[in-house]
Amino acid sequence: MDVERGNVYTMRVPWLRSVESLTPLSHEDLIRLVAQGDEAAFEELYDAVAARVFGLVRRVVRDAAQSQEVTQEVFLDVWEQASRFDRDKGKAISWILVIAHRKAVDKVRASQASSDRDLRQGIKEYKESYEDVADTVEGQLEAERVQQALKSLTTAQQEAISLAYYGGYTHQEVAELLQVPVGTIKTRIRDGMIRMRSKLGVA
Amino acid sequence: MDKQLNLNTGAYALDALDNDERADFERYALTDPQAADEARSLAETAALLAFGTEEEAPPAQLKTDLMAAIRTKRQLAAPSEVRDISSAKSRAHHGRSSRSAKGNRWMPALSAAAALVVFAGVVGWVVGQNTTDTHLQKRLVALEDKQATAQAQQEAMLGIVSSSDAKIATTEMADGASVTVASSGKANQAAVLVQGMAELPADKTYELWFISAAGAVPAGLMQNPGSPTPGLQVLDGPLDGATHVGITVEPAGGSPAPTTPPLLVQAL
Repeated sequence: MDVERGNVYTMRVPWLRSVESLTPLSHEDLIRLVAQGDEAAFEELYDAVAARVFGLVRRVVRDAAQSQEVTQEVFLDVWEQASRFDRDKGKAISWILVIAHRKAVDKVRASQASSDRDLRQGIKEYKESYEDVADTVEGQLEAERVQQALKSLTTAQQEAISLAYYGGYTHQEVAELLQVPVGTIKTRIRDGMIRMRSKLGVA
Repeated sequence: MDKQLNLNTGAYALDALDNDERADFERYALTDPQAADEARSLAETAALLAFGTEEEAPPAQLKTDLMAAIRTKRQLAAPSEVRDISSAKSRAHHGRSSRSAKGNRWMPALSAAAALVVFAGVVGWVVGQNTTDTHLQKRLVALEDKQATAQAQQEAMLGIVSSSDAKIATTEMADGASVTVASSGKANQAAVLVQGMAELPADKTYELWFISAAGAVPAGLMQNPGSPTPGLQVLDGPLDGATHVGITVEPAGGSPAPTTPPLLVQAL
């Protein structure tokens, strides 16, 4: 099966498949093909990462219909911008998740402007979502590492980072929620992220 | 006031800055390579936080819709780079392998901040995306306004391209926009032909620059950037030995010197 698939790609991109004919294509390879308008590669990439992207978007956006909308926009961006991805600057999955998080946050803030999201509700959501993290990540390697890294932070750092990332709140809002000065939140987030970076071994 | 922008790297990486703060930080990061690099690595760290959420397969319909949507969706070309007509031809044969930084000098700060550009670039482009609805109408209005000055501009353009030393280069930009720069040392002028640039908010404008080793000199504000048909504009002022033309986003009315990373730097 691999061989047959390899042949297909050999016809399309000989220089690539001749070296990598028996290894599955990495996300980075797929993006390179997507940048050349390869729809099959795009489909393969979608199948590989859609659940990851949608899971993140659902957490931040919550609403199912809006989450689908955002997810579609994310993948359209991936299609359009594939040529801009630079593998020297980070992993493909990170690139996609950065786009996804940003779009999710934009969506939340846009709906927030019309419905004026209650900040206290935010705390409640955050507590629920943080419990989710503990429940659902068992058995996934990356998830396990992330959880360990989060655990290595002070509670105050965890709280600020989780509210910002999973809740989509600005640091100003996080400061209001936790009733501490924004400068303090800034530092908590930065110190916490630097610690996470070293725990997770990001260069 | 000292905003301590260097402490915003973490919040930037978590998308926890509001739009103004983000713009402030991105500008600041151009001057502080250490902060730029920190923001990049923290953004990559932040992306891993996504793995702390439960995976969930989207409905099958989403994929069906998406696969249909990409068939009509134009892809962006590789990042802005120098190319004249002859290198454009060779590019067609070599796909995207010819990406090069050749001639892409802006200012020392740019290369220092290059690490940030992946993320800032993604982010900046994402912001411009949702404005397309009102886009078309405004473009049509803009197009009508343009008719009046078009003829004079065309004559100047003709002066440039008919010079024996005329050079023309086209760069494709975000969202299908394209910018063609024509210049002539003999005519001592340059012009741009712009098509389909993203609409900016009312308080922002595209500014054009003549760039040489001495720095960037203002060359006028871009007229009607969103026009669906090519919009021609002769740059203000003489070429005077400039080696590149650049485009940045500036506050309405323009700036005496660039305050944001360039969207495009085109060698002449």
